[in-house]
Amino acid sequence: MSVTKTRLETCFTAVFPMLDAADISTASNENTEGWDSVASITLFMVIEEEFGVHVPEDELATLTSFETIFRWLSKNIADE
Amino acid sequence: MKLIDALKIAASGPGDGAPATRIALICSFTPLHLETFLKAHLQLRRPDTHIELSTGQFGDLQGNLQRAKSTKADGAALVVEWSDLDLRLGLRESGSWSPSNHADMVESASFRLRLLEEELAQLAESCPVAIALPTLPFPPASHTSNIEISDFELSLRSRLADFAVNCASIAQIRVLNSQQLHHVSPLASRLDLRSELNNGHPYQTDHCDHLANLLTQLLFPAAPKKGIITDLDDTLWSGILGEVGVDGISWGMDDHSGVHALYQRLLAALSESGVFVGVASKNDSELVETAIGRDDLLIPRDELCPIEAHWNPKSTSVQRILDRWNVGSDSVVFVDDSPMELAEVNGVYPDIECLQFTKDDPNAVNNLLCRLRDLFGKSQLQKEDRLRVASMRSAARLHEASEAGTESHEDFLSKSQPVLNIHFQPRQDDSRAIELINKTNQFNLNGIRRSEAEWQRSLGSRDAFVMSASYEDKFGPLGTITVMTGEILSDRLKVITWVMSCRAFARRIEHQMLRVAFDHFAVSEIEFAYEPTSRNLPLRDFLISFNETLEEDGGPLRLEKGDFDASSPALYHTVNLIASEENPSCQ
Repeated sequence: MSVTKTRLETCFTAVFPMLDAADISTASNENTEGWDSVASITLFMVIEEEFGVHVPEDELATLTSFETIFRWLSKNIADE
Repeated sequence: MKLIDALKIAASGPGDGAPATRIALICSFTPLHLETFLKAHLQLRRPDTHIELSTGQFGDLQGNLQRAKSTKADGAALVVEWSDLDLRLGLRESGSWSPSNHADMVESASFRLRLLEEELAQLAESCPVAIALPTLPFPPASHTSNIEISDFELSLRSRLADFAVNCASIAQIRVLNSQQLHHVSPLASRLDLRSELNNGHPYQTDHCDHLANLLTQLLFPAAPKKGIITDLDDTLWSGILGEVGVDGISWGMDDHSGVHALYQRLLAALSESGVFVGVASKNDSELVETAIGRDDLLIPRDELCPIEAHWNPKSTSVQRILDRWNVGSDSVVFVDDSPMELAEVNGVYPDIECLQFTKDDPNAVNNLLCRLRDLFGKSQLQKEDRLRVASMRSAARLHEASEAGTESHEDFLSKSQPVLNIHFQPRQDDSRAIELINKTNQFNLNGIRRSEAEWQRSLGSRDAFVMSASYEDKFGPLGTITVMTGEILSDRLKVITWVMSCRAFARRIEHQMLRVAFDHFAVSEIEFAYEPTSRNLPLRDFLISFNETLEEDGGPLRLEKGDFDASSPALYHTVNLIASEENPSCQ
């Protein structure tokens, strides 16, 4: 598993502490309890802090699952 | 602290069944990350409790403040920003910044601050309130350049300053020192305009962290230290007394030793606030007596007590001073210029905060003085604070009289003209009772601390009682020194809280309190909610002195009146029983 994926999972665990570890990779705003607009703001703030990136606002609407966020990060940061 | 750390801490906490700490966060913006950081810092500060943080509605500071009054919170944190003074100062609003509107905005701010003050005064009757006044840069709404402050902004800041003065004078309201916030959170790194415009949350996360940390410290301040032990040579004054003589030591501007004058001034101020100031010096004692008798010393000679001047290790001096003050080593700060002496004391007393006086580095001395202010800081000064040092000296006389054998302890007590005023109702200065409960260690029934809100709630029961007593004798007053609370049951009294200041030991005040409790409530038995702590052996020993079998059955600790009467020593106090503040009729 890539370091990026592990770090992203850590972000998800912090923002959604009730989410089972096994469910993180398939989590989305449609199947995750508590993933509302406020949680989204917190999640992206945590991700920006963790990865030192800025997520453009016009991309936020498409980043609604672990998978899409991971793909976005893979394109926009250099993986370790 | 990063946001991810704050989230983890905020989600942690003790297991089920732990008590809650209820805090109201009152602001008009989306609390978002400030809420997370505040919860995290509160959790760190109160690790044995669940943190329950309530927030309000967006854009309604006044309403949120009103609603907080009904939440029965243990504390409230109010964060005021510029838009709370007038909506037109908000960055999300479209109100005009036209100079023609400035006078109206100042008037509107005055009106809103008046309303806030009224609501705050009511909220502070039930819980402590920490207030942060506008922390964000003033919006570019003035007609002047950024270099020049406008009369408009000055007028608003003037209204805010008046508001802060009024609030700070209300018991239980603590206003955040903006200077301290500037120190940890630079002004230019506070506003997150993108977040403000998109989400209504105006702060960068670092600013949330610092602001939440300071608000938490305001709500739950660390217990202030009780005493400072200072070295003399190159610390209280410049120079080595044994080498340069009494006239050679200095602490003045003329001798380039102004840092020592600053230190003396701070010690004098601390002493007047009730902090013990003792001396531990490797010196000739007679020479020291002469030196501290110099009339240009900036701390009065009498404020230095005791003075340990000899050639024994400093840790020996510290031990004798702790014994004289009757305080634990964790309540004391030791200041010396020598790293070796600091290490020697610290090796024997790891709990003592040891601080170096670096006379050749004035900035370091300034940092030391600021550190001492933090360690000894109190939100409010009680009259007991002013009495503390004087009463410690009278206790020393009592101690010396006993040790010298010039008169028996019994004679000494009988001739000391002791008077005990016992109150049976919560008094207006309840803050003193709460202070006693939260800082007393040795004579403390169970070590349970209480917030102001918990104290108020504990007195709400129909069967609740409270006894507090102030004491004075011919050596002077001690002020309020003991508090007992509990419940009046059908067949006995149940004491839930009982604390007494260590300054009041050896005067048989604790015996008199029990005698009065038995008589006043007409009970034949008193039950004590005693729990051993690492420090409350003196109270246990006191209770056991009436009946050594008290603890043996393992149940609640109970004392029969017969056992008490049989073992109580002679009591010489004149006792005044005071029913209430409004009706102080003595019985």
